[in-house]
Amino acid sequence: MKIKKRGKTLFTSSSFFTKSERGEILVENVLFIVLNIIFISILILFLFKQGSGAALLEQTYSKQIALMIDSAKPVMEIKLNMEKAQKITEKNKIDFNQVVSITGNVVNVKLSQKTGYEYSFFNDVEVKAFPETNSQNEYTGVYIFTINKNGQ
Amino acid sequence: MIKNKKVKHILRKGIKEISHYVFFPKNRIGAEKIISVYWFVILIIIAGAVVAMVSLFYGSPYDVRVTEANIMINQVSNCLSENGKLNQKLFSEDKTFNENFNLKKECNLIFEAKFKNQPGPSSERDEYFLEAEFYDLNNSSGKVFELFEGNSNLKTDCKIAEGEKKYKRLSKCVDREFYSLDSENQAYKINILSIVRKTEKNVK
Repeated sequence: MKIKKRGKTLFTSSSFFTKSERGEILVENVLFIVLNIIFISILILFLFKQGSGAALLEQTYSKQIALMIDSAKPVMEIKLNMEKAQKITEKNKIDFNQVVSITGNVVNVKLSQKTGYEYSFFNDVEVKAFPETNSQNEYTGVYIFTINKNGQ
Repeated sequence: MIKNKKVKHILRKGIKEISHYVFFPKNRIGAEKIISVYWFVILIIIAGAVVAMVSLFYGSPYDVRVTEANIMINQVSNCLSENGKLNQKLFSEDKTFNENFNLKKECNLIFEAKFKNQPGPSSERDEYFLEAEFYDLNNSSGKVFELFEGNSNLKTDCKIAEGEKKYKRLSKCVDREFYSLDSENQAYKINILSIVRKTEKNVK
């Protein structure tokens, strides 16, 4: 906004949406909008990336599997949809077969080369975990857990 | 090229002066400066706040201890009583409670965990405590029998915490009860206390 008196500019506000007296599209206004869009896009991308990060998913899957095994009884077969994990392993170039490993009563979920998350379960059972494959021998994104009595 | 130019604006009454920095000085047509340093400060503040909130939210681990304790109680109650009748192994031949009943073995429980990434004695420490108390409903004498397993030191955490948020680093305690009959249709109330520590994995 401008206030003019006797041909001189007396006051100019710091408003970004200034009206051009000649009705022109100001380059600066366009630049300002573009920068704002870029800024908001970066923020949204950041939020999405944080929500679907490997570390967070490792923790989620690890605890979910441990609680699932705790609630299970021999002899059971449980299928868990791990499509999100599969997408991340494809990006990180890890075989989907190696994502879940169970040693003793500890579940280990690994979605990248450097990371991994462990969580223990209290149910004294023998658990085997392996990914499901279709007729073309491709991974379907589902993991199968077989629960048996210990020593069987 | 972006140039910083200090622009002084004089208010109409001529009393006050307002100065601010402008990245884009007036162009030939006379259009105004646009993106001031204030706007960038606001953007940085907003971005900083969002990053801080997101890292605070996703940085703290999911606390699944209460769920775990509830699952454990379910497992133990299924093991102690089936179809409303107490497990026969709980009683010895003379119809009294069997003191040698092994809660861990009979209920398929394992309280020790060896983590690959956390070697040493701390990882093998018992993270659980489990207690089952039996009350005879026809007898006012109170508790007639009890069984317990795990790290009994955790029991003190329940008394301190009492659900206060500020004590979130203490163990989580879940206490539930159910009723069952013995072979002679004698009614019992069974109170099960389950405590899960696992602080390192569930609390930041």
